[in-house]
Amino acid sequence: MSFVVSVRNLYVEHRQKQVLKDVSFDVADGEFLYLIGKTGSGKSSLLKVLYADLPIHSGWVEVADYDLTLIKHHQIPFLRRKLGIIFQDFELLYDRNVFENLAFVLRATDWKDSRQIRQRIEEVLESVGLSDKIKNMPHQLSGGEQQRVVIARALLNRPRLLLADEPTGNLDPVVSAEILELFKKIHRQGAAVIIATHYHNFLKQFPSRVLYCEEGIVRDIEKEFVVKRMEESFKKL
Amino acid sequence: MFSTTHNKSGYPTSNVIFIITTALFIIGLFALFALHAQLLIRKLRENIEIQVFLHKNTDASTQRSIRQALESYPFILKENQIPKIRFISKEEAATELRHLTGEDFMNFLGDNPLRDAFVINISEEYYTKAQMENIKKQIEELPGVFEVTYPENHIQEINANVHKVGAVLLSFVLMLLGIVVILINNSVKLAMYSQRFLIRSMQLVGATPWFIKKPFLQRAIYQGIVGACIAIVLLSLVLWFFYTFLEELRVLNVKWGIFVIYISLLFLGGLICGASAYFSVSRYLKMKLDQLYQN
Repeated sequence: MSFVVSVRNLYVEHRQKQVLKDVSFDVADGEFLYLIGKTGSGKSSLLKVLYADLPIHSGWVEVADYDLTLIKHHQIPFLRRKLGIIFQDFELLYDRNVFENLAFVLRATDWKDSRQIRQRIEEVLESVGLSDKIKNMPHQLSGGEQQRVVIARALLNRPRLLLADEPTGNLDPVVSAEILELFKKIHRQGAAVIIATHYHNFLKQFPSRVLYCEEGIVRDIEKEFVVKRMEESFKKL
Repeated sequence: MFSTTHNKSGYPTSNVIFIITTALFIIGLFALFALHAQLLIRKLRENIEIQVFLHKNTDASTQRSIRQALESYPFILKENQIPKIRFISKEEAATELRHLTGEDFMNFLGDNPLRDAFVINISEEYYTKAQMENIKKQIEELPGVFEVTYPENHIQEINANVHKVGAVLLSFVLMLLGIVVILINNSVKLAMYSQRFLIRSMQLVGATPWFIKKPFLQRAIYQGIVGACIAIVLLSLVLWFFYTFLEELRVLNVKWGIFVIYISLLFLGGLICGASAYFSVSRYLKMKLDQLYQN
């Protein structure tokens, strides 16, 4: 089994505060898992480490075959092209339409051929069910539709690993469920998916492995255990 | 395009161009002032005449050889390649003097006491005290030359003032240049601040630093040049105004100088804006997300 993420004895400090202590885990290619924890539990820091935005204090991290303890500054863009990042503060560009938002990403990642660019954009928009919104401006879309565009953007370069931080933060439960369906679809197509969320309904809808963060310590909870717990809680109802 | 302060992407285009235009206009105005001052001083110097008096009764061939000697000196001012040398015979000088004084001095002197003379003008760059003395000595050594005179005090006065004015102008230009760089740098930095999350987004999709910098750099250089163009139009208006009301200025040959100043403004605008954009984008590229929020 090949791993897209391997973390060993990771310690991370942020502003003279220990935010992650002795974290070790692996994520296999194509695996689906949740990252759960309160604000300040180290959840966001862990994600930042994975896309090389937070320096590693000690330990060893490998993401998509890049050793993050050795990675050079100029290699970081190429690591990120193997990741799809879906973040709240990573918004759409509101001065251009959906197509231009996506084309911008492709051009930024060395796509040159206009025909290939259009083709790839049509593919990802179809996979998130927004083919008819290609010419719309972001403000003409609903919150759920905007989030789908963000997901489409993350899929453009066929990432090995999708990182999503509170992907349904501002969305109602019905739309959130649709977004989760989308992540499940992406997972079925072969990408590994890590979703950081406090939205426990996801666990009920689609039980999977959980990394639980608390005060800088990460506990690894196996899928079977989560499934069992969820079944128990259903029985209680 | 410049009518709205903020376009949709939040980049304050018109603010930036306004600051650049103002800064370059001021520096251009100053440069034009310095150019005119310098040309006026040159005109003043070149109008100073040096008189070369000859011995009495020099014959025509000596006069011709003196003229040839004078023509061959490098310090003689040339107008359209022709050395500025004028010969005034003692008769002409006497007529002139008679006109000036209104008295017929030859009547009571019984003789013309004046001498034949060459009047020459000297190139501007020879107007130091040492060089003038050197020139005087050199000409006086020519056979047939009696004396060389020039308005020594006048020259010293001009020189002293030129040095003072030069020092003041230079320090002003340096100060202005500093202010202009800081002003433009600040406004470009401020404009970049509005783009920090866009820069961040570009980083997250895996754009290389150069890909991110390029459009910002292009826009900043473009704006610097647009600002410089507006400043040039304004400066031309100011020049037109002065030349309409001060016709005396037309004796100065400023065309080439103005051209150099305008080209320098275009270059300066593009360079300062480009460099500011480059450094501030680089700064945001190195920042972490929380630092962006803190700012």
